[in-house]
Amino acid sequence: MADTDEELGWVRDSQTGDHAAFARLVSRHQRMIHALAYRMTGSLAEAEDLAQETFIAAWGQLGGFRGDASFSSWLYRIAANRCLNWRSRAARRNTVHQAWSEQRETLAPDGAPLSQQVQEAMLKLDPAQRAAIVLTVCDGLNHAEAARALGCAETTVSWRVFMARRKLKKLLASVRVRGGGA
Amino acid sequence: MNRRDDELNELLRAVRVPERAPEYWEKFPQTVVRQLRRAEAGEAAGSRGSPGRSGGHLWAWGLGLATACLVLGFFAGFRRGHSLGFSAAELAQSRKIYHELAGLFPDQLQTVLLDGRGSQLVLASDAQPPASVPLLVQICHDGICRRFITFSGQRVALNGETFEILFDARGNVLVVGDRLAWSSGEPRKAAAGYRIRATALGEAL
Repeated sequence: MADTDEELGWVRDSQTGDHAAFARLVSRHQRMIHALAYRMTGSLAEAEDLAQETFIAAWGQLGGFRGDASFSSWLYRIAANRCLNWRSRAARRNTVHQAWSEQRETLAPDGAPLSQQVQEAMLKLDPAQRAAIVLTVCDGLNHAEAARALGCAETTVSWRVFMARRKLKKLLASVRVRGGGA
Repeated sequence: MNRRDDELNELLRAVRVPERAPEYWEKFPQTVVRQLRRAEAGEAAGSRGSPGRSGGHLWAWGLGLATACLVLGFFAGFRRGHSLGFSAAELAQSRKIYHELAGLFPDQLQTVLLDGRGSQLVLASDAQPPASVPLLVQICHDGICRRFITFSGQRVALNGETFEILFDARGNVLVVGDRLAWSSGEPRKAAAGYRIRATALGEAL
């Protein structure tokens, strides 16, 4: 996604320490970051924490942003790595899964069961494989873009996607897409 | 293995991200900015945090604080505890729960959420000494109360708001959120409709 002049102005102002400009950047990209974090964790509360961590980390690293990539790609890369690091804190898994099972009852009833089953299957993947699937399938990055975001080789992403698909097909063997669409 | 990739893609894209209230999106940027300001205000040098440097300072600040709490907390906490607002039975019950769980997960316990249905645990992936004596904290707002056993430097949540729990050298428990900063040393200063009770459990452990 190409940055607008307006957004580049906010980035420049943020680099000089302008909080208001940074708040505008947060406002513009917050939904994308929350969605990524939610898909990686299956928890609204954890997604909120991760989104906050991402933006705070981005503020700290803004001095290194030179515009080689779009701001959204740069930010997305920080978020993706935060999500992977978060997942490595394996001990939080039990709590998150418990929260997930409680949270599922509050999700929108329309389409909720299908969404829940898929999300639960996603949570059973290895975190690196889950990240590869989220970035490529859910967020539409090609393998090269996902590799840049995750800091690994393109072939690594392709392999992770392949392995994730194989596992998901097993886990979701009994699930059917309703009406041919989501 | 019989599902085509296209069908699997369709399933994966069917995962819905639960929608949040519009007010959440309006407040979130300000929440982030408040955290940045708080971190910058805590920088000892007082230099204005500029991007590219403040992240490192933020972590250094947090690490320093945790270390200070670790060293001071053990000495101060065992000598002086506040049983502020909790009955003897509540304290005894909390200590019992803490002992049982700490025995099961030595040096891994970060937070125990106590509710009427039981306990929920947050555990560290690797064993590491806690940053303070165990702390008993209860936060109430809008008729909802949550009680936690936790340690200095941990974060807890109520009604979507996150609070950092700290333990200072004087043996006071601090609860710091976006809208309040509360200390067991000045317990009457409640803010923003919150009612808080907190005490160190270390005294009688």
